[in-house]
Amino acid sequence: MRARHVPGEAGVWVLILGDLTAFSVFFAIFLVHRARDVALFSASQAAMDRRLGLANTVLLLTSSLFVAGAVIAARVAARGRAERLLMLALGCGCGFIVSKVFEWGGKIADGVTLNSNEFYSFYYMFTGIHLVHVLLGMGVLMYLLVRSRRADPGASYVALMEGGGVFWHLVDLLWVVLFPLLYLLR
Amino acid sequence: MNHKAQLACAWIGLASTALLFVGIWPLMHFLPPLDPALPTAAVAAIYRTNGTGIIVGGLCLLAAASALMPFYCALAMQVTRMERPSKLWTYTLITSSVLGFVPLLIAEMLFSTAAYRPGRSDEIIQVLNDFGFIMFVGPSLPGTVQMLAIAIPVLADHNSDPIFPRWVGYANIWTAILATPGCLITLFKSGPFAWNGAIAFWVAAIAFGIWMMVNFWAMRRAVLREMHGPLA
Repeated sequence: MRARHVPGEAGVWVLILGDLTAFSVFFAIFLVHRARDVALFSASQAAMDRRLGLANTVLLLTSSLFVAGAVIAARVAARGRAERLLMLALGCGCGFIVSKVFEWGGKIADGVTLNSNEFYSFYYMFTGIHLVHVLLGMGVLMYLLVRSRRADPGASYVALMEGGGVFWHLVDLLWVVLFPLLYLLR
Repeated sequence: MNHKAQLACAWIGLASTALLFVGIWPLMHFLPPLDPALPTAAVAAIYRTNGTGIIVGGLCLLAAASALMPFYCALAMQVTRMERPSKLWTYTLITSSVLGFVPLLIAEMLFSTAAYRPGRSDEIIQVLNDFGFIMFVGPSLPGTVQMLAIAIPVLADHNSDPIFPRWVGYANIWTAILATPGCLITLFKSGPFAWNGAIAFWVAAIAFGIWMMVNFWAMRRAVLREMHGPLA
């Protein structure tokens, strides 16, 4: 029988599942507010740039693929490969941030700001909170990169890679739900 | 070692949280918080009719905030055990706890000032009400720092028998994230990020309740283990 293995460590799942719960509540709140004014939300959502949203989704999904690869590499002590994959994931993260800056910048230049209407409040707030999580996740990935580079990464290295990797997957998962909610709902 | 005093401080923390609740809800009737979109005359009427409740409830907030200081200091004593010989996170926890609760004192005094002279103009009462709620919900970031000041030493604890279980560190990171959005309330007069909103107020309040229960439990367990050994 295979021994039971908790990826990362048991405690990190308190954070992951807790954050997922909180975001589920946020998404439910969005849907309740949307139901109160479907016309306004639909009209605003029709103006959203779906290609940018899709590009963001592809960037994050790809970055998760790289992170998953890095964790697998860490497990077989292929730390050079883990390093390279982490850097690629960080690159995707940077791409996401740049894309976000352009998307927000474009909207603000068009006069669409935080309080333009209720949908846009949700849009800026939720993508903003998600962006904070992306930044936190990139911090975690950078730490994993530093650890991977050490001559002796330490006994908890694999667990750290797994736990950190899971947090990045959370960041990705949150966007995968946010994207259809904000960009695709009609 | 003053274990009994530390345990008493743990219970004082719990009792103070209950006192906060008693002050805000049955006395001040500020649960849920007043709607930021309420008309000026309606706000003034509330202070004129429930003035005594607001003032007495405010005293409960004052007492609770004051009594929470020994709780945070007792918690800091456990943090010291985790990070010895350093005291960095101990100091950060203590200072951010003070910074976090000063706005509560000021909010309570603003609400009391609004109720103090019922003959004042409606506009002035509303300004004091606005200021009070912005003080009450707005300054959330010291709380974020405070919770991280617990999370970091818990996760970096290299004792063979960690003082707090590691999941408590992660739980503190989680509540730190949930407590943060309060600072955004001045951008909104309605919706989930207003001072009465589902996210800026309710999620943050629930996160504080969860935080208190988790850290009370962890603190009590740590003190008992220090007194009686690991099977406590």
